[in-house]
Amino acid sequence: MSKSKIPFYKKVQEQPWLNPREKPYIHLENISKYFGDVAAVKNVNLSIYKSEFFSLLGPSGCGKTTLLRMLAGFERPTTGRIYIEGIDMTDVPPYDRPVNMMFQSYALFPHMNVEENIGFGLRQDGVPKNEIKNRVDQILELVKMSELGKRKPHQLSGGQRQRVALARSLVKRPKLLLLDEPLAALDRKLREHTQFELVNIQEKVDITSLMVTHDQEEAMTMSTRIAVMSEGQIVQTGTPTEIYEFPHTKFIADFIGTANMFEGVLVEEEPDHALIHSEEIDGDLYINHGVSVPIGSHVWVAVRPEKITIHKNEPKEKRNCAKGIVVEIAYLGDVSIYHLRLETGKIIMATVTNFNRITDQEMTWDDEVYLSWKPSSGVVLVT
Amino acid sequence: MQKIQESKNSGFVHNVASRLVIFVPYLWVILFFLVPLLIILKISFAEPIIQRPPFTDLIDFVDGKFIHIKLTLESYLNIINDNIYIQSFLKSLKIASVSTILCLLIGYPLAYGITRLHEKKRFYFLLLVILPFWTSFLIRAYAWIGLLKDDGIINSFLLYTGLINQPLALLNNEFAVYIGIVYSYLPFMVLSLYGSLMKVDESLLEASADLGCKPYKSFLTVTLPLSIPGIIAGSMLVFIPAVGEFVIPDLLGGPGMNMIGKTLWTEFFLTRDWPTASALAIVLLVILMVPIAILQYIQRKTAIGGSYNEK
Repeated sequence: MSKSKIPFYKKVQEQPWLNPREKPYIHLENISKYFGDVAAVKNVNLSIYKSEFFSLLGPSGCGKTTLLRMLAGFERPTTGRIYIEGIDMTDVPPYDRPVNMMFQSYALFPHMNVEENIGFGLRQDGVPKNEIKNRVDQILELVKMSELGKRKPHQLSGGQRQRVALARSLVKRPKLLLLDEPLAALDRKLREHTQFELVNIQEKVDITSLMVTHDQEEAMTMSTRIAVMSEGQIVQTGTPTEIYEFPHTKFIADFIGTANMFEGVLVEEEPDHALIHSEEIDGDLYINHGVSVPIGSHVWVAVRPEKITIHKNEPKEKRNCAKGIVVEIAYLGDVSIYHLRLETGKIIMATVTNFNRITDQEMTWDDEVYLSWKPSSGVVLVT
Repeated sequence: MQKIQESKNSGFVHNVASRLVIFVPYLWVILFFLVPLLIILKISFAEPIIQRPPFTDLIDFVDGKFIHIKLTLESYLNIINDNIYIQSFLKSLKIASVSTILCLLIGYPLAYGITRLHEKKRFYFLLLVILPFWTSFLIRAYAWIGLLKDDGIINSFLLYTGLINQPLALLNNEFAVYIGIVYSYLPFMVLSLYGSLMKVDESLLEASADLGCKPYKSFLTVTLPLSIPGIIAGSMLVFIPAVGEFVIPDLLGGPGMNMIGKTLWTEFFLTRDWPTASALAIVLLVILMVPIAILQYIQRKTAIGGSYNEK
């Protein structure tokens, strides 16, 4: 993974989701949403804890935005209940919910200046004028926009509008902050910078947040936990590390980062290891964790490209090893990605960190090489 | 070098062609709007006489040597001194203002309702709004006579049901003029409002609800302010033609309905006082230029600040 993908370790270190006695702050119970006959969200159960930065990650059309809109109150779930701090919010209209949303389009009011936009929610609540001014000034300082309070939205750049939208959704100190693809409209450089800033602000104000994104890098960088969604269902919930290193299914392994997938049959199964025979590499795969399926089952082994080592000479260990030819090299500066074709025709991707300045290529196209990985590198997937 | 020459040439040709394209509509405006207007202006400074044409020439050649220019402001003084003209101006302004407000009150909910409809239904409802344009304006005005007169459809029905004993006076009064004007100009109002209401982004209403605004307040704080350009455009489109309206007050308003359009007509064709009639037309034009200037100003302002749809 490149530099920008280093997970951002959150201060929520107690990991409240591991404590069965901890009460969830936001709780979704059997939420389903049908549009006509089409199910946008199917039977979702989800618990989010106080101060978390939780992400819903999935491809477009997976139902994540619908789920977010149900939390905001714009859509009513067909079945199921939504609880915030233990209070049933399912039938509460959006204007009475302690929830604020930052819209993907920002949805800033074009006829109001920055201060008026941010103060809008406070005015609805009848907050006294001078308190509104104080709180707006405070939040403007937080998002570093103090100078631009009198500007109209159309006089701001994309990044500035994004800050105003964030400030507007934070100023009411909601119990839950909803972020709908908050960085999607920014260019790449600004996005990477804003990821960290957004998390910093969220920690400073300590508001429980739920973000929807299709960008796995964004989700990994910013979140305490991620729920991966596919076809209206949550397929896995976990910390960024868990999701990346221990994906539950082929879909997740493939959607989060890249993974080489080896199809095979389970031949040996013990609590501390598993042995899989794969026709695809014409050899055996040895994995240092147990699998809870019977011997003879059809399984897949996922190995991330950065966990594969390339050798010029044949390694002694015959398991977790394959022979191939370099067919493609992509030089990315920090790393190079090699595409290797095995004798069986399968293409494997391997990432090599460029520790030294490359002047003379060690490996080049059509070189015959060996690749291997450790027993702790792969993960066995059943579905 | 040759290439540059060529491109210069083609640029020149292009320039001439585009100028020509612009020139044609300009010519049209100059010939058929500006020149007649100047003629009217000229006549308004002349004196009425009984001949053909019924006004004096402004420029005389004395002995073929001296140019003698004769301007008189008598027609304008006439307008100020004679109560009839001021009365009809005021009446026109009043009827146009009330009709504009009525159009706005009826048109706003209508336009708002249409924008809230499903896309397919929206088309049919817009079609219904535009449909009356497919029939001649005069025929529609006459149709209202058939509805409103003493033995018309409405009175006959009410008499038949026994709700009234004698026909209501629906025709030949201000009420009928209001009906006629509101009916005729409502589509302009609805279409302008529809245009600007459609531009109000749905997510802005969601944002305002999300920030604690109940629906009626969202309407007042978001939808209404953002539809002001449409309100102004629609009001102008109703108000301006309504002030000078002639056919509707003539057909539906009866003989006593002295709106300025009717007075103008009387001056031109009955009294044959062309200079006074021209002066009236010029004064009317000046009066109407005030709201047009306001409209222009606001449109320019919203054009600068109105790019709220781009991200």
